[in-house]
Amino acid sequence: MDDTTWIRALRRGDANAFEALYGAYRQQVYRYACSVSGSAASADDLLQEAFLGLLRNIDRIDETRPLLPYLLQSVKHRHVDRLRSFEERRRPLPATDRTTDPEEVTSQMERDESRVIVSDAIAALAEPQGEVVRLKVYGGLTYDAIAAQLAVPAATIRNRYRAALNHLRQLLGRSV
Amino acid sequence: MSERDFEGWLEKQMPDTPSPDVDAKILAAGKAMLANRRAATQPSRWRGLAQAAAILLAITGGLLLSPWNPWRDAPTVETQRIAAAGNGSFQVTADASYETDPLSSWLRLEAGACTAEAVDVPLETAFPGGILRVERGRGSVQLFTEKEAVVEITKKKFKRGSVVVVLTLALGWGVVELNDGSQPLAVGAERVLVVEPAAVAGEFDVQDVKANTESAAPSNVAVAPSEPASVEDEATPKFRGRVVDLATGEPIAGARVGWVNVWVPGAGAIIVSHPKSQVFVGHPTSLVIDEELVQLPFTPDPLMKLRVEARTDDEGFYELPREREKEAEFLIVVADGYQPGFLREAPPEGETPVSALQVKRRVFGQVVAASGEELRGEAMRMTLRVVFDLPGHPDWQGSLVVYLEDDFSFDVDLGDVDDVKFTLSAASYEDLELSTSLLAGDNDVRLPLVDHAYLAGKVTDESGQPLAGVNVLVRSRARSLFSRSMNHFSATTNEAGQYLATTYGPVIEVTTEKEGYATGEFTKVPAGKPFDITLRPTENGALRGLVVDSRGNPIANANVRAIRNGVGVIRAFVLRTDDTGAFSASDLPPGKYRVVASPDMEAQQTDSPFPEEIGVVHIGVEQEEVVISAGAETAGVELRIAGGAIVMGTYRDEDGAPRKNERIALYRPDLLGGDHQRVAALVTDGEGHYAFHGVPSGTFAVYVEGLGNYKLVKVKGTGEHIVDVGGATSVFRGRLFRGSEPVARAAVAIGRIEEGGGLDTRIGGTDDDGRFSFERVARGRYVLHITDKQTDTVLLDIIDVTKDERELEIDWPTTVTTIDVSASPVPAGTELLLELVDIPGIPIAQLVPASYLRIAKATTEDGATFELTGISPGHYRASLLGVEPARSVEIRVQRRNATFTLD
Repeated sequence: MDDTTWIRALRRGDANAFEALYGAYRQQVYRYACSVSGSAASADDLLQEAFLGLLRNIDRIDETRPLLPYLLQSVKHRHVDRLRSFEERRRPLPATDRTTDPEEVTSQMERDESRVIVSDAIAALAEPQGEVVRLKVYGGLTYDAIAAQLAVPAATIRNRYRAALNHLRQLLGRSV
Repeated sequence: MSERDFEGWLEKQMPDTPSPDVDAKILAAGKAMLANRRAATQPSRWRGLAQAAAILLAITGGLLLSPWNPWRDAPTVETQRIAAAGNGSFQVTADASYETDPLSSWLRLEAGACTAEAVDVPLETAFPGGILRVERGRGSVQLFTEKEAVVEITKKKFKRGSVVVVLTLALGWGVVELNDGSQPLAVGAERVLVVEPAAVAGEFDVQDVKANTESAAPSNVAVAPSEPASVEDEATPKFRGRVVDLATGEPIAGARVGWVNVWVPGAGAIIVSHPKSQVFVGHPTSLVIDEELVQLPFTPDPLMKLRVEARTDDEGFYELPREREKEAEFLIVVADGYQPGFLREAPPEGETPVSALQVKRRVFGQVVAASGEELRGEAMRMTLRVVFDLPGHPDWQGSLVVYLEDDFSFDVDLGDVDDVKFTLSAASYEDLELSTSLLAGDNDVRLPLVDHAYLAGKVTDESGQPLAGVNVLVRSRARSLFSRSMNHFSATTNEAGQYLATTYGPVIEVTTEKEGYATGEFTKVPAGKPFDITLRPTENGALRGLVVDSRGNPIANANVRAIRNGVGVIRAFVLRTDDTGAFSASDLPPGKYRVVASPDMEAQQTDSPFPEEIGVVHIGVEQEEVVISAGAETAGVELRIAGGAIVMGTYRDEDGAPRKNERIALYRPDLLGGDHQRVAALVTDGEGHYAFHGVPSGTFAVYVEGLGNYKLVKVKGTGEHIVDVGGATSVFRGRLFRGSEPVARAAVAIGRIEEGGGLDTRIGGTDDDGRFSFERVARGRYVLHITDKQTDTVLLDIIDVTKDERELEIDWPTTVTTIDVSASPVPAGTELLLELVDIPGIPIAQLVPASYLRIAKATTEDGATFELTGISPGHYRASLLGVEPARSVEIRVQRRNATFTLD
């Protein structure tokens, strides 16, 4: 089913369409949100805001445009909004006590560690480069889709992506 | 490692799935919103009102309890009243031209754009960021605003039989439908909305709608059908042109001209869309369509509804409003007997030629399911895609997507196209490719389809008895233009053993799960017919084992989980060790298991101020793979919880004396602003000692609750990490000024610069007098990080806290730092971001999250200079945002006004 059909189904209030659409895009949106925020908890929130925001704006969005870039863009915007609010930037340490069972703690820890390192490294890239990596690797967009979103020719995106990967490898040298 | 490997590695670094309950939460919230929506679009006369009232009641309930209650002074209205009027009112009169134009199905008033005389209050005041929509076709009004909405409706009957509906909106998001049968609607906004029957001219007294604020007086609603609203007149330029026959130059009368949306994704594809179909025109490398008439060799849909439409007069001239705020838009011309013409952007007075069209082939038909049953799924989800070459443009390929009618019929005019491929696709069905020959001529084509909307069947045991309560998990391929992911659906069998699962695509795998029966895994699932499953009972096996610590001592009360590896279904059996460290399970379905043991974390993580654990906790995990065979016991599994590092230390007070019963927690910090994960907690023993055993590699924070601060420790391998805590404390107070004015409600953070490289952060804020204070601050050197929300600027400094008390008067600099970009000016409104590069003495590397380094943001008004006030001396990078190519400059700010040039 293509995005236009989904959008129309959502406009009619089709809950099954929402479930299917969520299933189809959740992973890309979530992974992209992780790469943007570097935090699993923030990514959960961003994921929710992106999908519910889509429903909220369903009558306003251009149905001829693909949805995934739209969802990713809204993750980005919401993340920036959150950063702007001071509370988000500086939350005191014991803000939440999320107790998890120990097995998850350990396996999650290894992943958390590299997640933070990687998202930090991506954040350290010059901004258009970092965004290309996030959209491509985690958002699952094609060069053309990224080009359309960033309003830059696809060839430029390709070059930026290459440059960004090289740069990232240097930054991550020890961790890889 | 090759680039591809690196890409692969990179890809694996982000988790695939959100926290467990997040999916359910989002789906539930989304479905609830959609359910509201469905209710709102039902053609019931009063449902919309009732629903809005329900929203109102729900939200008012909360509001009434809060100090801000807009309805405290609500006037009493008549019996038609559904809710009281709000405070303030204004109205919009209906747009006569819009009323009489049957083809404009939507009237769209963008926030802020509508400030014509018909509106007493500017819309932007009313709907921050919101949009009002009037859907004419259904006679409904839908209101959208960004935030939570409170909607109030008052319905009033007037003597001429007209109806005024007053909508009251406060702060929010909501969907409201007014269903008044054939009553035309007009829309106003803010807190009161007056809906008037525009067909009836005259004046209506609406003084009953009382205003609660002094500024908004009751007013009259004027209805003047003959005069178009000035909104469009003033703001929308006209677009004029002429339509002529390309071959003869003769004007074409009665041609329809209108706008359609076009999306140009990158270099290549153009998508023209209208309510009934989409047209894709792709090109492998590049495609320039600006100023060029693009001929498409078919009629997309002769009945298509254009968003704004005009008809040419006898001389072939047309005039239509130019739509604003559209990035890419096509002008489309449709005339009987001609091919449609598309024009990207015509000169205002230019001519729009269309060429003659010979209708050569028309294909129509109806889609039916292969079995002859009624089609399940909806026509809207089904499309007919026609792929074709464009005559005269050998590099191009176009495709036409037609949405099927409600009865699954289609009707496509193919124009000159000879060589086409058809693909029928629908969300729930297999794609079906059709050859040209099948579709030649004006035949009614019945297309066989394979049904993939649902999977149904019956689950029985070997004797044929139906099994109830069997979990059936279905994995199917998701269908989307941009994604190739999987769908997961589940169903449970009923008393008759029957199940029905949505699939939304071809089924990849079906898994069944039922206690006492072997797990069923099926990968070959025939489409379009019932899939019956027979389950065999299983004989279970047993498991026995022991959990010990690194010295071989048994660990009592440890959690043991036997996790069954499987495809699709993962089951975990939770066990617990007894006092001898032994665990056992006698009833495990056969299969491969991962047995995972860990000390009981619950006791260690309790929020009680005095957890049982004193001095030492284990946080290690050990696991082993075992196989459980049917009817057999797998024994002798020993899990030794060892490994990991030890994080330990002593808590001493200012005099160096050890302190017992001080609560210490180990956190997995999230340095980027997310939630910090609590790993374990304990209290120090009589010697002031604490130790966390089995800590995995990574960065941890030892959080000292008594001091409210923490120390970071980087753990690697199995060594011991000594982190002593406590020490002398002091009180740190300060007062923040700018000039002589105190800076109130600024956020103040102090971060201790540790010798070992940790950063110990505490947060506070200034009161109305600009004062802040931190008690029990460990002595040492701190980074002071103050954010003034009013100016969104950060002040950074270094302070030493050495004595019992430290008091500071901080005068925020008033120096002005100017960034001059006039060498190459930027558009007004461009933003500039100032980020910290270096301030002497501040360990930048420890200010980990990039957001900590953002110091200030400024916007240029003239496009030539940016002014930043109150920037502390230091080394910064100033970058322009949203400017291509990227432009930035590094600057060194000192204690005086200065101007820097950014080329």
